[in-house]
Amino acid sequence: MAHRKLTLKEKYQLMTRGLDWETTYQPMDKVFPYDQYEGIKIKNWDKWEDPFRLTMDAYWKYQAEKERKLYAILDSFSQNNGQLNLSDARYLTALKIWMQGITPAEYNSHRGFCMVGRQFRGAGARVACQMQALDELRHAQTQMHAFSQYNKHFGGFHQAMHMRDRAWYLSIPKSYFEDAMTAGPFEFVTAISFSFEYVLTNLLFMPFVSGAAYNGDMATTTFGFSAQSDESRHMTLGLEVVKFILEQHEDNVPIMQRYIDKWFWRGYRLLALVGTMMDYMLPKKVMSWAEAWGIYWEENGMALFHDLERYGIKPPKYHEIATLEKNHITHQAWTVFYTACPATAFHAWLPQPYELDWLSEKYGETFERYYRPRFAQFAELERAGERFYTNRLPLVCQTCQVPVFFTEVNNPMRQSVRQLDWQGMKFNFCSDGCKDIFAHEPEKFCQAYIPPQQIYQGNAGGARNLQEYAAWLKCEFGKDSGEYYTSEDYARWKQWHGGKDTTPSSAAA
Amino acid sequence: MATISIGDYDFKPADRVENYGGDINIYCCWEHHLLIPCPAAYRLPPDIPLIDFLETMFRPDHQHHPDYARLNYHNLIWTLDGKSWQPKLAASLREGGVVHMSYLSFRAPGLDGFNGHGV
Repeated sequence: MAHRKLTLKEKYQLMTRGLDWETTYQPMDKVFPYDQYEGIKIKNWDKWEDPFRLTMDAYWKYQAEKERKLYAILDSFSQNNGQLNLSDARYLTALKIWMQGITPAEYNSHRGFCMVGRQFRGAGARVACQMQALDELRHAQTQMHAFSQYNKHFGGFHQAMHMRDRAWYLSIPKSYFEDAMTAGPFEFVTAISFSFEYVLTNLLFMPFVSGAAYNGDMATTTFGFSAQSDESRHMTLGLEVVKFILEQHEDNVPIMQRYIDKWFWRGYRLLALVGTMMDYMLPKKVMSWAEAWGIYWEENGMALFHDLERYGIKPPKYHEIATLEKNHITHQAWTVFYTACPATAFHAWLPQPYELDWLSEKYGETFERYYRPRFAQFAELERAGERFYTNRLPLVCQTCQVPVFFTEVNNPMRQSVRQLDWQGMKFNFCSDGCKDIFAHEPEKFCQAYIPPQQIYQGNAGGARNLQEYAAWLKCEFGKDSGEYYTSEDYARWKQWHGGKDTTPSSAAA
Repeated sequence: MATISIGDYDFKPADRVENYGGDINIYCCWEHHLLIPCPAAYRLPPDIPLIDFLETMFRPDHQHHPDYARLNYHNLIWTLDGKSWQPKLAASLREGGVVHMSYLSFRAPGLDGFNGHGV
């Protein structure tokens, strides 16, 4: 007798929740020991709505199809020397920071979702987390493959995981994901699925993939398209998670509000790296950080929080500060990259004349008054043969681990430093947002691995200065790090273009 | 607040003073001189006189700046850990109340960076 074909809905039920059972040899609380201690109360896991109703067999089929297309294009990219089609080799600094900072973060996200995929007692949530765990692993792998062609021809792409554990600027994304992974499962999904994937991902993924397309990077653009349908599934999951938790019990609201406050601020600090990519690393510009913040946070983000009002959720604490900072942080961060690039695995440079004009157009008076003169002074030092590099280790925020280059919102000439005494010791921060996060969990954040302090304690391979530290990172000056216009990358790029400088003269693609 | 956890959760700070072999770490910043964009970290003995810190550690980082030649150590306006501070140049950091992870900053009246741009 022929079997009736199952409908998609039936198949979904059988392949996810139908595989679940109530344990009898051991109490459920012992089988799922971590889904209660945070104080989040779930009355009925069956209320979990599965946004995509994707079953594992369908998942494999879709992903395999995407892989086939992606690798066909990557092959053709490498056979045709696709790296020659870039707008300019300066663009690669964005890719290098992505490879060293975000690709390992995708891998950590995979590990985190493996963890929560085990710890939730609702089968629907477990299946969704399992698929996302696989997505994140796939993203880490496909990014490495997409970037590998560049590794054959340019410095800084080697040993991303080695650098991830050592480099000062990479401790920012690393600590972000490790903070999430060492939290409870509900905090992890709120941090990664909601705050990162839903609220902030448009500020991360959109500029990166559009930036790749604008700058002739076919490998990364193709990876971006391949990941896009995963990302939209992750975003939907993020919103679903938060609504589900909020609807389950009113006691969950203040806990979720704290998670949202914390992870908005941590995510915003992490995005300073992305904003700097948009304004400074992309030779062909997509949009400015301030414009992106306006669209994706001030308009879309605020509309989202307007929708969440009915659950008693308010917009994240200090979001007004983030908006006040939008005209400043990328210029400040680039100053740090420009002055500290010998101790990194990427190159930095002064914005070219067409870029200074673009920045003036986008940032108006703020750029003209505070930052254009700064770059003019650096240019004068370069002309005098004294390209400026800093030799001193910086104050790094105990919470977000960003060097404290941020300034007071009412005084762009004065660095913003906050301090807290805890158990007889002083801790320093970049902002009230980061100080609040520490104050809530001092036992956790007092353990932070602050790179400059690790160097001073002798834990960075015995390095006593920035040169020795760079060697410990396995970064060679001129090859992997330091000024772009005296680098091997630039010399090679010029050679491939008949000895001519091909720096673009306009920001338009 | 205490960290919510599944068991005892008690860890020592990673940067506690015992890890610095008798030294301390301090942060220092010359305001309105953002050529060095972040306050800088210094590992040093707590008994170092302030003037020695300025001459042997602070000076090499800043002496290339044109404002440095006009810097007068005697009329600096200091803050220590967010409070106004009137240190004696010959006194040690410890005597002046500087402790591990203190944040010192100063302004030099009339010196506001290259052409007054704060750099």
